[in-house]
Amino acid sequence: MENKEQLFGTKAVDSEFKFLSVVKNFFTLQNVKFWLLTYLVSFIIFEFFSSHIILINSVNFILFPFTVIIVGTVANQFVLSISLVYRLMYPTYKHSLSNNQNKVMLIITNIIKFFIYIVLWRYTFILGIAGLIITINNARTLDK
Amino acid sequence: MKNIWKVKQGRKRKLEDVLSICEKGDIILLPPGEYYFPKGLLFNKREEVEIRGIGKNPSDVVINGFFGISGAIKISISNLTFNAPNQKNALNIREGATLKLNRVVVTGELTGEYPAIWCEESNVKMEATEVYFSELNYGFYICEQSEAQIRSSIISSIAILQSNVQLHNNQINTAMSIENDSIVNSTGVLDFTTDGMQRDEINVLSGARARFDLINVDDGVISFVVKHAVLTLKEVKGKDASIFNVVHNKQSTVDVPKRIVDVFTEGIEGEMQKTSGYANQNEEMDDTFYFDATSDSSTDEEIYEENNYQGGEEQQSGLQELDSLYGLNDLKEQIYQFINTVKFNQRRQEQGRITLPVTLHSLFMGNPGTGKTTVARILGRTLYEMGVISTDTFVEVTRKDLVSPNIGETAMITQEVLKESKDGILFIDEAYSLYSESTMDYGKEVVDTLITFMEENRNNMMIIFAGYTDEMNQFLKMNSGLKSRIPNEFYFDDYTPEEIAEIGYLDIIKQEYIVNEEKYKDIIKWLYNHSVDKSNARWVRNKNEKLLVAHANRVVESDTDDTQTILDKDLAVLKGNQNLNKDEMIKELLNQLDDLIGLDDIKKYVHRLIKEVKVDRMLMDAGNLSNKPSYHMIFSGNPGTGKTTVANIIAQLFYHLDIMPTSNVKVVDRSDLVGSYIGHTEKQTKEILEQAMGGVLFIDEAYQLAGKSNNDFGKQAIETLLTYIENHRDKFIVILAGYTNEMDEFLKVNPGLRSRIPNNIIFPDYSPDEVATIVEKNVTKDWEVNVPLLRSKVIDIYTKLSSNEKANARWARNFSERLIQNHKVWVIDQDSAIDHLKKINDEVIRELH
Repeated sequence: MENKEQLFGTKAVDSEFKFLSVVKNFFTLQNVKFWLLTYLVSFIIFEFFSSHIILINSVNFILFPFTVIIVGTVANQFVLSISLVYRLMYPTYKHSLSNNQNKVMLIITNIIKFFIYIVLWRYTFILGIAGLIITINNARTLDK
Repeated sequence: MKNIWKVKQGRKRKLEDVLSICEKGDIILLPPGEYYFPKGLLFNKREEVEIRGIGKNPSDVVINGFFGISGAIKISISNLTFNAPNQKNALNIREGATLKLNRVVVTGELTGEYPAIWCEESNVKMEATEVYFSELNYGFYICEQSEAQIRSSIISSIAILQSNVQLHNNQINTAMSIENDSIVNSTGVLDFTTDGMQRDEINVLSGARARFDLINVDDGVISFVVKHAVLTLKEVKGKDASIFNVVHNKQSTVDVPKRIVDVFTEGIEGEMQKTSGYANQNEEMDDTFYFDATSDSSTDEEIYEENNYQGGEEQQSGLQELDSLYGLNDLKEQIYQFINTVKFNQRRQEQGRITLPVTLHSLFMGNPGTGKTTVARILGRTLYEMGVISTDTFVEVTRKDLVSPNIGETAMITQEVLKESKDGILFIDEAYSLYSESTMDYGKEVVDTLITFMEENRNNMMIIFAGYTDEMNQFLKMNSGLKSRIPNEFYFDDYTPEEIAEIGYLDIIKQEYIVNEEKYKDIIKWLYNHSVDKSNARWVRNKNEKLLVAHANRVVESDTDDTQTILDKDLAVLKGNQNLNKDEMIKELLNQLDDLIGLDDIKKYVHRLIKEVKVDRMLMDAGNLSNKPSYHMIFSGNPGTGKTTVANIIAQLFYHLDIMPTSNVKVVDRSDLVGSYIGHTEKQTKEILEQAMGGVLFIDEAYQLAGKSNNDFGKQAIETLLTYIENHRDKFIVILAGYTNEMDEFLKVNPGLRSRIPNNIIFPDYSPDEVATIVEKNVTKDWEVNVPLLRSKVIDIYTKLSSNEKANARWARNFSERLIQNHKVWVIDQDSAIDHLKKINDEVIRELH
């Protein structure tokens, strides 16, 4: 029988770094709904600024989901301490954490949040790249 | 958004904190280090999270504590190590939870009392995982209808109870136990390391089924113990010193490469008999032969030849044969006790002591096909082998062999039969038929003759009275001395659908046919579940005969050489409707329903019901439907509102949805169910109900069953009906139909019916316009007519009718017939030309009132 260590137990899975595995992790880190929603929002904002500098806007449009990821990651740092920051920044339109919040407040929060994301969209050519690097890093971490 | 949370050691953001804020799909990363949860960490809210150690190896992230996972949640754990705290499991998974483990090392606690992993009613997927535990006990328990998939893992020992497990390329260190109807399928290799021990053990017990593609053992002995179970072992590999052996009892099926594996059959008193040896040195080696046997081959050969269980040349002893019968466990226990009493008496007799008076005469009570005759023959042989009876004569008779139509001959015939069976066994089948209420019946004469003979021959011959339990009890009352002279009562329980399927399958296999086991058993179970036939094993043998005829026809017609393989399309003959395009038929029937005029609510209801039934069927197939649904219905409405037509369509739909085995609709009313004297009604109703089994029983004007007087026999019909609805709720569908108000009253005074028939469907009266449409449809099928005139006339007449004359579709049919009759008369009176024969004149329509 071939080497049993390679057949059974924790060493049976190849723990070597694989490029394809990282790519797979990269895309499965977020679900399809996330990618669709963020690109939809990005497209709406892109249309809003379409008369401006095309190149930067195109980069912003493409990298916006990564801005969302980095902003989400930052917002998570405040989830237990400053919940208002979390609520205004975290990329979701429904807030399960704020049970006491009424619907009007939720709409107001979402409107403010949308404006924050419009501002962030304009700086996506910087934030998005940082988000992209973080995502690649996460994908590599998960492959370990 | 899926978040990745990184747990920090110390006070900041601990694993517990992250678990409280994370959401579905989040990933929690555990950096290298040790984490302590001595009181455990419980996962019981709806979650779907992944916990990953981000060290290089699983040993870099160590959790000292236990995880309790319960409820409908999914947890994935990878790349870390668990150390269970004292007297706790490391992982406890319950109540439908799902746990995935990948590259995890789980080490159980040291006392050996609490397994490392406990999985109950849950799912586990394990890959490249290692589970270590004390050698004293099983380290990994998978029990109570759990499902597990284990790949490329190392497990010290595993116990699988009432669960399904799929293994692929795994290593077991010490032992494996598969019990209580568990199913284990191992693909790839299952490697056993004796780990310094001399012996590894695999137990396959109590209805379990285990199939191993390849078992490898490098050193030591590996023993299989198979009891009341099925073991299939395709291939074994081992070094020279390795020995495989299988010990099984007669109720087990063992399929192993016999030339390599020693197979022993357990005898009735616990002694072992070797039934097949391994490699004959001179025999040609087959492909699956991997190691040399070390035992003395000549001895093995001798034993092999003497006891080869497959050859079957040497007849088994009576007790061995009894033991090899499938199921009947309680009965076997009863028979062993009986035989032990006889043995005990023999020993006392040999010792010259006073013996207990043992009477051999017995009662065998149970439904047909439960093995009464077979067991009687075996019991006779056993008693003969033990020297209790001096001959192995077995005489089987029924009433007709004992009773003569001529006066004075009955006693003589009975005496002859008794003489023939003297010192052996006399088996009287359906003995209750000797009982009759009539004083003129000769059955009594038979019983009187038997009693005298029984008293004189109670130790040296056995008379067995067999029949249904209730009827036999009636029979025993026939003569006060009868019961006391037959002290041994053996009860033959009905087989369960699972047992029937297994018996049928074994019967097919015994006849050297190959069949898709799962599909065959599914069909047999389904059919038996829907059958009221209580002929047990006989029922399944008849089904097999039907199947084999279909198979033979197909083989001959298609001119194929494969006479052995029963194809799935042959199995279709068992169910009957398998060759039909069911979806098409259902669609067509629903179209037929939709084509009916009016009845919009009914149509909606039936469409909805069919959806429900489809889901029920899917749940039933998946085994997730604990309560069998009831489809009995009440149709309330006036005559002619389409109740019978809809009932027919529903019956067809249920048949094509595989809910009912036939599409028959039996339409009856009070006169068919209620008899005219005491006892008649129950019998008549039962007969009707038996005829309706498997289909739909439509009781028209059902409210008439509740008669006005207290002594009315209708009540007995309702009671019988209720008993059947209760006992055979999924075997037929009852539709009670009648006028709305009367049905309401009827159900009010019979609350038992209302609670058992949940679906009440009200058929509304047709509007005059709808009646006109029905008339138009009836008439224009064969005749030409002025349609607007006809419609207006119909609406006019129908509107003016009194409410008790408005018979809906029935009125429309009668009206149409009347119109056509009038037209024919008009044609003759007017001497109309032949080309006007098919055209109904307006005058004829106008004359109608």
